[in-house]
Amino acid sequence: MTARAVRFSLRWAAMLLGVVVLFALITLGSAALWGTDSRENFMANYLIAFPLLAEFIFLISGASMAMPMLPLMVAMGCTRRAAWAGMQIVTWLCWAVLLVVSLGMFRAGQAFGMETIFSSGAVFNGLFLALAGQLALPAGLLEGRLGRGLVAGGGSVLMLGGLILGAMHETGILPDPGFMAAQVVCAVAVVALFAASHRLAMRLAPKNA
Amino acid sequence: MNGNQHPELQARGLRLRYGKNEVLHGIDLTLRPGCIYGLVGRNGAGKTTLLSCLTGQLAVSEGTVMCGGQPVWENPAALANLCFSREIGTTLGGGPNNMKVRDYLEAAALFLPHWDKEYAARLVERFGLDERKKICKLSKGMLSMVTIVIALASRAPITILDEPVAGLDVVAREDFYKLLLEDYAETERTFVISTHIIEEAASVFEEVILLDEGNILEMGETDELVGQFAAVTGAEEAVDAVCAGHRVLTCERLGRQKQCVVRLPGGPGALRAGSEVYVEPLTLQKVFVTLCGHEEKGGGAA
Amino acid sequence: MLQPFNDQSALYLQVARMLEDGILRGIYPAEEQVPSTNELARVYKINPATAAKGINLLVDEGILYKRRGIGMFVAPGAAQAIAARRKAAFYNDYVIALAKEAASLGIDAEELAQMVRRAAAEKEEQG
Repeated sequence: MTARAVRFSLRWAAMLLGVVVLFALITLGSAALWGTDSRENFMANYLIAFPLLAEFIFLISGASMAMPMLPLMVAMGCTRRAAWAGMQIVTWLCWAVLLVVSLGMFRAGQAFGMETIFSSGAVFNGLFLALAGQLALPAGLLEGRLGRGLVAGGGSVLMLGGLILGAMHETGILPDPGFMAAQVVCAVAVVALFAASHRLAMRLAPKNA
Repeated sequence: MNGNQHPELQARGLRLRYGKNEVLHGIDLTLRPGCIYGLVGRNGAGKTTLLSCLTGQLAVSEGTVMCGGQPVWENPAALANLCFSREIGTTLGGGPNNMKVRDYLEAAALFLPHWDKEYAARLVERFGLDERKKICKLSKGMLSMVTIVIALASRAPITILDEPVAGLDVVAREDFYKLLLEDYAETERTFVISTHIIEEAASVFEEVILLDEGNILEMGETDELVGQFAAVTGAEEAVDAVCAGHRVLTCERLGRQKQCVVRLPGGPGALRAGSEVYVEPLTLQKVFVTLCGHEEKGGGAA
Repeated sequence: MLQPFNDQSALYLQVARMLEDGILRGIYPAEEQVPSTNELARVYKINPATAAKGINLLVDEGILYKRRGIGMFVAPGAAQAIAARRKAAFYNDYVIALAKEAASLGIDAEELAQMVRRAAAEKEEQG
């Protein structure tokens, strides 16, 4: 049944990834044609900002597309466990693809002689956004506003927090080891929220059943 | 469970609470294989909630739901026997439902193990549905039709339809009953149809379940249930005399005329009625209104 | 032939009555096959179990009999049996109601008898 959930989720993922990859190709193509000076070629900006942008595209459209798919699967008789597992497998697969594409863009940017941002802050941003963003997805399975709010809201807060922390680190406001500590705290928060949302989503049957 | 083509669906002591508010009160129900059940009840009686619990869509607060002897909740083997088809929402997560008809049919094909692809295609054509259309752009009638296609093409041994004719005009409704009976003649599977358009569906239900405010009021063979009721009309004194000693449910007065609805387990034959009163049977709809129309209850038990 | 069902009596009884009418009128002569449960269900949009109940009632009364694997057939003498039963019930089903209505209109027995004779004579003339 998980396999079927994966199949169903792949359709959505393939479509979204296609958009992202197309965008990457267009950006690269424009850089090859019109150069990497962002004053002359607006698209060149995206070479640098690509990873962040791709993550956002994936997170926001992904969540809004994936969320309704979960209850649809359950309505058709898929178990919550299988729907969750299937969606998780597919989303993490997508993040892996995104990572590869982003690295590819980074290398391309270097080859074009651009200065690209690739510091620990940026890495933290990327991975963190991924983790926090995953929290938005199970909102599709959760019963009740509290559950949905907890997950989507918690995920959004963490995402924003991650962005702010990353920016603070980049601009020197929050150097290591403070930044490292902050990352650890956030990671713990993400894991805790993740576990809570999983439990809620499974709506484990009452003990007397 | 293996090879059990005709499983039973059973609920025992089913209770559902939303916080402190109990919505279903200790429901006991057995749905035997190969029967068309009608689930009738007023808006808010709990029909959809009950059906959701029976099909593993909602977790019960107390009690058990079993299909073919196995619990239904999160159980792929039990869920494989079930199909719960309900009104598809035009909004999804706060925005319009941009999924297409095709998406729903593909999900159904993927997750419903008995899905009949050709049958689905025939039904889509018969209803004139455009698979590429988005759900939020469909008319109420078309939404109902999608529900019906999924339910029928599921070929699930126990197929449950929640208000399938809600958006349909009378011609389409007649068509649905026809399709339903054709399918039933072929597959003899269990159907549960919840509706509040009672009378026209009554002839299709072999058994009827009356749900009222989270309780099952009545459950049994349609003919047998309806046969227990009679309306006695005539002059007030005459009607009172005839109804004396029997269970009177409602009374209506018009001038000096009176009409009372009585319930007699053995049928209206037990009434000693001469030519001074007019005794007639009730339709299922009238029985339902009598039993569930709380505001209309008047008169007294004799 | 396609009579809508009314709410005056149980559906399965109406099904039985309808088949009896057909037999009586010669639409289904003896040894003729009557519509199956599923056909009846399909055409009148009723549950096959209801149709089956009606047919079984007629089987119990000896009006129909079952040929295994083929279907339900009209028993020999069925039309006569139905006519005889309805004749016996005629008084209760029709005459009492007639008398009751006449009484409520102030038509006395003699007047009523005259009306009945006149109507019967006209019917006989029409053949």
